[in-house]
Amino acid sequence: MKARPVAIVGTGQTRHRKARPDVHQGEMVQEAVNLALLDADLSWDDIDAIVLTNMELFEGRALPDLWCSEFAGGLGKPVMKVATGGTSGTSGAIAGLLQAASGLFDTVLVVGWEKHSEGSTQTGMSLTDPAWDRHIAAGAIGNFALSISQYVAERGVTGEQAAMVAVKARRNGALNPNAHVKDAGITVEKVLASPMLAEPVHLLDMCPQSDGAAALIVVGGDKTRRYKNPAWFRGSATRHDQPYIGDHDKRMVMMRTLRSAAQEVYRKVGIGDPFKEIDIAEIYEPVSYAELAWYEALGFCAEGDAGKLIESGATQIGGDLPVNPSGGVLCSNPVGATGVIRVAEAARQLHLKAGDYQVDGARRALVSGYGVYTWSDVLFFSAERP
Amino acid sequence: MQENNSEYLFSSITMDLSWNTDVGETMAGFFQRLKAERRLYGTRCSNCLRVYLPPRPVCGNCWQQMNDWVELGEQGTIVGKTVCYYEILDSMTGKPRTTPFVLGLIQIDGADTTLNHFVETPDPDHVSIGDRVETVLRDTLQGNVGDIVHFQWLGPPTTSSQGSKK
Amino acid sequence: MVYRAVRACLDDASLTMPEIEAVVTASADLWDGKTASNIAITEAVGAVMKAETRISGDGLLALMHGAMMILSGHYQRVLVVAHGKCSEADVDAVSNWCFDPVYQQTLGVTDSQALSLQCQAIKMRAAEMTGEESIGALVRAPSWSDSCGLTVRQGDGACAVVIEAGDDGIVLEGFGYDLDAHYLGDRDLSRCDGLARAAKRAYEMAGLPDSQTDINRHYWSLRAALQLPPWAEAIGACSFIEGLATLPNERHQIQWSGLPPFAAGMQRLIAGVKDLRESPGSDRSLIHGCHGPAGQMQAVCLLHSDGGPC
Ligand SMILES: [Zn+2]
Repeated sequence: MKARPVAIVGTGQTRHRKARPDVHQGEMVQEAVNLALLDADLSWDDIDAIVLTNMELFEGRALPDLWCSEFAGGLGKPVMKVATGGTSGTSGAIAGLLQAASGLFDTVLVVGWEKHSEGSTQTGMSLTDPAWDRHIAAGAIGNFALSISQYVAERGVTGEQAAMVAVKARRNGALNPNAHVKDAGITVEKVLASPMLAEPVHLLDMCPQSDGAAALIVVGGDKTRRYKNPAWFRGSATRHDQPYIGDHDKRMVMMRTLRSAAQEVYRKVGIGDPFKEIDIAEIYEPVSYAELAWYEALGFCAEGDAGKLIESGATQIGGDLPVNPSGGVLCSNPVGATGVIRVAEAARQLHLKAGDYQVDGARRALVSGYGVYTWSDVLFFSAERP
Repeated sequence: MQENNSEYLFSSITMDLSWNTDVGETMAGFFQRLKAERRLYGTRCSNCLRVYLPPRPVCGNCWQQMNDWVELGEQGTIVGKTVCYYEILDSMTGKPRTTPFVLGLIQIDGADTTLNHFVETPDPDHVSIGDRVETVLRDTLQGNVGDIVHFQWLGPPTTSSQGSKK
Repeated sequence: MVYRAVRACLDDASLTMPEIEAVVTASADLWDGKTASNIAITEAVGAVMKAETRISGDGLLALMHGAMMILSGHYQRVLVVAHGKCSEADVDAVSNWCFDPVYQQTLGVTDSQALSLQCQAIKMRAAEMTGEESIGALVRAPSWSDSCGLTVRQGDGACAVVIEAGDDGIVLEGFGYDLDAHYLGDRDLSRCDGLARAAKRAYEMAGLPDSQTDINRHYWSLRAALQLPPWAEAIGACSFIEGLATLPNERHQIQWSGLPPFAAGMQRLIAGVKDLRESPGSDRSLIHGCHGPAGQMQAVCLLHSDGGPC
């Protein structure tokens, strides 16, 4: 069966911030949804179905879709909530794209949000395996640092090279009005001088926790015709994996999920050389070192060459393959929305609406999602209709 | 969005929920063996022969139910390591753990997976990947994961400690 | 628990795990007490190195999402798994956390209170329409009159189903779902508009001209038997008054022994599939699922069997 072509034609994001005390969760959702509708020139009545994404334990709400969907215009409509940890946003976007591709709905709204300031993230993170992980609640940073120590030992990347990722992100973020963390004047020295959290990870190597929401409008069939630059959905792949950190042999080096998902998407879309054939990538990098590891897993460079790739400047805006021109996760991270933001930023590049961080000639965009210890989503969009 | 910090109303709600999680047959088997023998056990997949710690009922790689228990060594090797400077609450005492503390990914002799756990050492900076550690259990075992207190750093591998590796 | 359900399902379908392309699971984090309750079951559902997605809510929603994945042309065969383990949580206390934090949660509203409000509304509507003071005189089963006695027990359970593209055997010919207003005061609890909309979508998708054409059996997910008359009315099966007098019956089945939350709709689906397999000739069933306070989220699936082997 040939898939029905669908495209993203509108995006909307809140200004992601450390805290948004002026709005409740539902109002924050509504803000992003209204902006997306405005962008796509549609009204609430045009929406046929809604996919929501949020990690409920971070705020301590149970099934928050029951309450918040009304603010997304969901009353009396088919509504589902997708939640898969960090990949929630990309999984929700895939779900919305597939629902529109099914032909049952012409216009699907995807909206993700998180209001970290309302809850305790340490509680949210620690309720994984109650019998095991909860006891050793050393937090995400320590677990990242453990895997990074293996990556550094294997590949020899340096703290300077990781800091260059953080510098690129915060400088890009300074061009993006929605970004939570931005710093146009940041330097490698400043990153390395920031407090050491867990060797070799400095404070400025890490992503923040943000309040924010992001929305996408997906359309299929005749509804796509009125749009000038739709971001056409070309394919996606998802890989989940075993539940404990220690199940993954050198997880950051191997990252078998992301490798396999990327290979599947490249095969579907017909990409032989990702570095040459992709114009822009929005990838889920929770920590600077992860971006380097993901370069290798996504095939942007040869194994072990990630350090050289960041040094070359090729992944900056204006380079051969700009990665996270929006500033990425290192600048804004409202978990349930983070994956939706990646998709929205990739779509904005193809819509040619990315403003100060628009990548010239962006026609093919790659998105990756990351969650739990190794779960991965990969999506591909193009300016060309499939 | 308002960027000023005028007064906002908050609805303060404290979460006070508890769950009585069933640990499941496999984890119960692990704790029973730990209590009876003061030894760690893993489960082995009869298909790929991978030995899992923490033990679990199903090998996800083969989607195969596991019934074989394998006795594991008392020592292990550090395969990933970090020194942490941020504060966390010690789940045993409820008090902040003194910083810096060392976390390791530890491969127990006989297991194919690794554990993330605390490494006790006099000098955090001298801990390296490849070093050997020993499991420290609490004196009176209670049959839960708190029974594993930490891993004591032993130093770089010597011929004898490497020899004990299965 | 989940592995056993999946194993039984694959054995029943004569399939092996590598033949499954993707998995959709249904569960609710706070009910399980986990950050993401699908992490705990990734290995059990065979989702290692595979596409899995998790729907927060009743399993019927996961089934519908799986069906849309197949309709999209991106996947051919999907495993759908739902689980709920209520014995691990204080279900009623958790349910308070799904009310809005500004108003209803602070009032301390829980699921059972919402249910009891709903039962009262249904009784009042019955009394207004008939002039009878006591509902006991109206309903078929006398035990309905006691609103406490009618709550169907919640329990633990896991259900698994494999769906694939095709026209033979038992076909999922239509489905629909709907989310109604959150504030209990915004809804007429004695009716179920969300269910009416969900059913309408399902009938339309199946191409059924008249809502109740040829539907031989209805498999209900209810928390209280009193929900049946207004909900049967919502799907167009009978009038409210008729429902009070005649339901439940052979065509409208309630599971009195209890349904695990979030696996409930799937349990009803499996019961429906089993009956369809045994029924000779062409046959059609309606499966109902719901979650949320007083049935805020509603789902309807229509199954059709041509009587052939499956
Ligand atoms: Zn195996």
